[in-house]
Amino acid sequence: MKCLIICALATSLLAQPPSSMDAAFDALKTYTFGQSREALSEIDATVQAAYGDADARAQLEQRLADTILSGCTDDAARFVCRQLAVIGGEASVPALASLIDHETLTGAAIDALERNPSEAAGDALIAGLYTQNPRTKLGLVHALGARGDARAVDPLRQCFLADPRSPVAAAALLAVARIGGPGGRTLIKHVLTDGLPEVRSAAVDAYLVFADGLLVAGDTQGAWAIYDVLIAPAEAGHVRAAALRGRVRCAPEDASGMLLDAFESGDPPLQAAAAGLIRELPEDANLRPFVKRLTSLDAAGQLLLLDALANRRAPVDAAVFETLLAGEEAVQLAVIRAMPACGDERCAALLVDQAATGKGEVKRAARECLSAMPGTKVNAELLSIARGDDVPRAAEAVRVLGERGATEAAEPLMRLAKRAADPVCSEAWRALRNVAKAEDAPKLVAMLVTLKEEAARGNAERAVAATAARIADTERRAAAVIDALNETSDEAARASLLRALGAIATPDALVALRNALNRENEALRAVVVDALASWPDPAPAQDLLRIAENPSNDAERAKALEGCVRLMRSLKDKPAEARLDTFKALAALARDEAEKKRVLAALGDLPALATFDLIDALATDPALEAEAALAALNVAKVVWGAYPEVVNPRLETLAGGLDDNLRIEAQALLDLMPRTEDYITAWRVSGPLAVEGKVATTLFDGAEPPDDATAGWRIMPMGLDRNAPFVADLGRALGGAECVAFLRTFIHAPAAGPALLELGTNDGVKVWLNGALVHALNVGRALTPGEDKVQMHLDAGWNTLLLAVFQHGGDWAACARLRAPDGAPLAGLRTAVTPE
Amino acid sequence: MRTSAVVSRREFLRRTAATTVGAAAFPYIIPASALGRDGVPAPSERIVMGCVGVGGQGRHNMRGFMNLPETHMAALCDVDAAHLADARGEVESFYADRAASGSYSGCDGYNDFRELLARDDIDAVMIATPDHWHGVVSIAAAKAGKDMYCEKPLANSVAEGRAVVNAVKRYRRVLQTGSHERSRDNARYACELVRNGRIGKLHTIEVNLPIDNHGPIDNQPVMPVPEGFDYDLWLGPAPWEPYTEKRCHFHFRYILDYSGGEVTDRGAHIIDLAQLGNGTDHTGPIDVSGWGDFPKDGLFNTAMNYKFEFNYANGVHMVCECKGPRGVRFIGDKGWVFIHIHGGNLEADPESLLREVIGPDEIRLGRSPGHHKDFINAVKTRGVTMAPPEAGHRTASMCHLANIAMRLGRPLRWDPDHEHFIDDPEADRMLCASMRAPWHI
Repeated sequence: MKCLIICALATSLLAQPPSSMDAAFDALKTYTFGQSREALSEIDATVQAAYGDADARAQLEQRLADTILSGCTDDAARFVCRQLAVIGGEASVPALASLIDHETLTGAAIDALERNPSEAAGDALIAGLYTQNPRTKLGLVHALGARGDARAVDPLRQCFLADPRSPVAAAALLAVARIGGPGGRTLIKHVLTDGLPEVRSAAVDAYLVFADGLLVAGDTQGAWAIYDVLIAPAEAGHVRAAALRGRVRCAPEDASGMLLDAFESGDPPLQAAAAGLIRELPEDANLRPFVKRLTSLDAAGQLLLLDALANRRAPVDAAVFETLLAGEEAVQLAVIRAMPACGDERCAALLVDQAATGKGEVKRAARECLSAMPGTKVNAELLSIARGDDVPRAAEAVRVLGERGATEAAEPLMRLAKRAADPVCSEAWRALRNVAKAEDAPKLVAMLVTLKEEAARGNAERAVAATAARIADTERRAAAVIDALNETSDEAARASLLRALGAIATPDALVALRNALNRENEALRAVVVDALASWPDPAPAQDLLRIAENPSNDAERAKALEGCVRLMRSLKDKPAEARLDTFKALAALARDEAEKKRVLAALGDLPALATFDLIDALATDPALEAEAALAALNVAKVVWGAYPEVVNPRLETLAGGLDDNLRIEAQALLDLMPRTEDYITAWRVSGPLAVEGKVATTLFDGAEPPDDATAGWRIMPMGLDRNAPFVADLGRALGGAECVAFLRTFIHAPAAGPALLELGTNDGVKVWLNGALVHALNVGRALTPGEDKVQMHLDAGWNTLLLAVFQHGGDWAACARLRAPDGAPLAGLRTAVTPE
Repeated sequence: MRTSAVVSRREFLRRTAATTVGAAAFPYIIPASALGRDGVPAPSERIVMGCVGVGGQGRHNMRGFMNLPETHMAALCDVDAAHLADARGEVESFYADRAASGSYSGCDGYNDFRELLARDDIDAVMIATPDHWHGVVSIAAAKAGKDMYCEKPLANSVAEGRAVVNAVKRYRRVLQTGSHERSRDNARYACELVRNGRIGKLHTIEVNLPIDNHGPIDNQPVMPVPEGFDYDLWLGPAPWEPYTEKRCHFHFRYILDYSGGEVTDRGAHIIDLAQLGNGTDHTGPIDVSGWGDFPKDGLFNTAMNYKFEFNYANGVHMVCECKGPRGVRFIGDKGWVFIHIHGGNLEADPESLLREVIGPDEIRLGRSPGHHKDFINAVKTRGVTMAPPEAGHRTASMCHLANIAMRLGRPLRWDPDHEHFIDDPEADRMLCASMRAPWHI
């Protein structure tokens, strides 16, 4: 039905007298590149719409052909050729043939004729061979070869004979090869026999193509005869490789024998080709003979064959591998890498040997392959080695069981962790990290409490934490450890349990550690402080600050200070002003040079105006000048757009300093600052915000100004795009896709009045002034400064300008400035990130 | 002292060349005995490389290979003399920094790739020309006995791609398609999740292919060809058209004579992963349909908005839309996994899928040491690359099929075994690209 409708449309288009088609064809005749091609597009659409309507198509074909015959521009003729390449038949051949000798249209005409299925098209191409233009002749020769028209063989032979050392002759050889038949074969053979070095490589290629054609046609004897010629040592390596491949395809039943012979020939090109061809043997091919020869080949042959056998996953006996492992390192590595594909569980012992006693790359490869060896029997074999008396091998086997995630080995590994001495005990605990199940957690905790092997303690604590992490219910993860802590008085055990709680890091683990702070002796308090200082999120930051303020000893103070600084630095998404008080306290607590340097480094991540005062207060010691300058520069990089008057003199000082890097960076920032072109640079940013299942365009409708209490407004770093420092480059500052971010600034107007907001965003945008939506554009676009012009009315005093900028993908940015309604500069306005 | 039985690669060359007329260099393994200090191959044992096309992506690839200790960059080719001079300068200063003398001038430059391919000392070539050149250069490289790393899409038409695969197979060459997203661990892991049924039975693949900010542009004026730019050679096999700046370099990808727009550009990355996850690297869909918005005016004429769909013989349905985020989602009856392109981040539902371990007895797709390094490893072992020619061809074919279906505006049935449309000879005529003499495949 759909097709009928389309045909009807095409017919009606053609039938319209005088139709838009007439106008389109008129426009086509005079079309030249650079003009509108709408008329051409209309013709193209009509041609496509006429699919299935033979009459309409015939009319269009004739009309296109007539366009050429009645005279048109070259660009128009080129368009017509493209159309006829797809729909042309016998009717359009004369028009196309008339262009064969045209200087710039020859290619388009030949291309259209090549695809034209009519016999007349072939005739036209053959007739064209009498051209004197060698490039045109080449095109014709290739086109005839591609059409596979047997009538062309003799004309092509004539072309060859006319100038047998020319590129046309070389092309003619390939063309007759593609067409096939005895005439072509004789010609190619003649070239190979009689020399003609200029076209020899073309003749070789043609001969291979010819042979491949024979093979496809079922003439294996004829193909073999050609491959037999081309496999001769005098030919180039890749030609001989091609010939070997051809022979294998001629006689697939003898393929294995031929490839074996190639391997044993010691002839490098044939060996390499054979290695590749093994990969192409039928799935049920017998590869045992290759495996048998492995040990008798030279090292180069072994390397190639091992890789090929591994590719085919051919079974190789462990004894063969063992023999080969005595070879040089390259062979050892090839053997090891082949084992997962070709070996069975008996290889596990060999690999464990290499992993336990080998060195460097061999050791690394053996370990990798032990992890990848398939088969559950491998785990059983490894477990057997693990239980043995050979300690290095046992330890290696235990380690691998862990890496293989052998959960069925959890119980035996727990027994080894309980009873074995180090290093097997340590490795068993390490393996348990991967293989113990959630329900094993209480058992592991009990084992940890009674652990005797001190060297294994770290692995044991980590195993307990990793196993606890597998408990689905977060609130139950720390339960077993907390219970044990309440029951044991052994100091070493308590220390381990406290460390495990630090690694489990759930809210109840934090409560337990807080409680322990008040109960434990000084040594265990130190363990607690360590655990808090290593906490993965900022939850215990204020605990650490309190410890640093009231420590039991100086080591505790130092550790707490260090941990608190680290955790506070990780709060980068929180507004700097909200972190300022904590940093003031930390600055006051820092005693020695190292601590002050640590605090200064963290202050560099605190982009607020008041940070400069904190830096100044710490920088009184000359030994800290460099860190202080770096911190000030890092803050300046973020806040210069918000506080240019404050930042400028600081940068001037830095630019005059002694440190080359600081000087260059400060000067670069100074150079950037004047290039803001009146655009607003004092922005705070909130986001990015995304909603599950929504893309930016669907996020648009529901986007409303964020709630100040949860927005987390922070200063937007400007100048991230050095070429356009006035652009808020949200892509670099925030990252993300299918989301939105908000930019907010405050504008002080000396008096109420109209203003023009010149805005550019990538992608869509919504704008609110003093809470009222004044502009909305749901679009995907590149940033063009001033692309949107929004007339607004500013109140006297402080106004709030808020932008929501949407991110579809790719770049994400915005820039805005205020002008008078006529676009002239608007004097007297001030912008600020916080109203003064 | 043990005497090594291993024959060096160069010795192989010497032995072979002694009995060969016009033999090309023959890349071969580098045995341990040929390694110099610190495992770095001795200069005489390195894979000697040439680059054809050293603009944007070509320069990136050039650096990638140059930084591998087992390669040596000996020759570059570009039809833009400025690109060529910049790239040569970079190569020579790279080696100068590492030379005891502090200077180096051994990287030759060519305008015509045929001269580079004619060098016997070049083992492998990197091809990063515009798409319409990929097939011609790759086939010529295979005939010259070179291994090749060819940018994606592997070829500019289905017929060209098949010809590349045939030539590479015929001459037993190694080819890596530049679909480097395949070499990301995360992508391979996600495909393993799919192949091993972790999302249940796979039924739908969603390909998100946003076009960013590359929209249509106005008609452009004819311009004089800039000095140092061989425009005729840049056009190569493509139909002759007058020069205008925005036809060439980066912009070519939005003109159908040279490429297939976003569909063949980043589509070749995403659809490539879809093929890997679907286990259909060796085949293709059985039908294709789609809608595309092809600009009716202006210089660019590739689809600027589109939606196309495929069905596979295994029952899987693939739908590709012009929307973000860029990537591919495999949807099964028990969950889904999404691979973000250009970064490889994964998302899944349920999220726990991403903590699944692929066991030793399951389908494992292996891990790549890096796309460039993987190619060099395969050159040495005559092995199979992460993005072998058949896979590259099948991926590119899907991009071309989508463009053909969208241009013709009708659903098409496809025979993936014989690579032609079913009962649509007219559509078949669009399976090959134009070949302007003297170029051919």
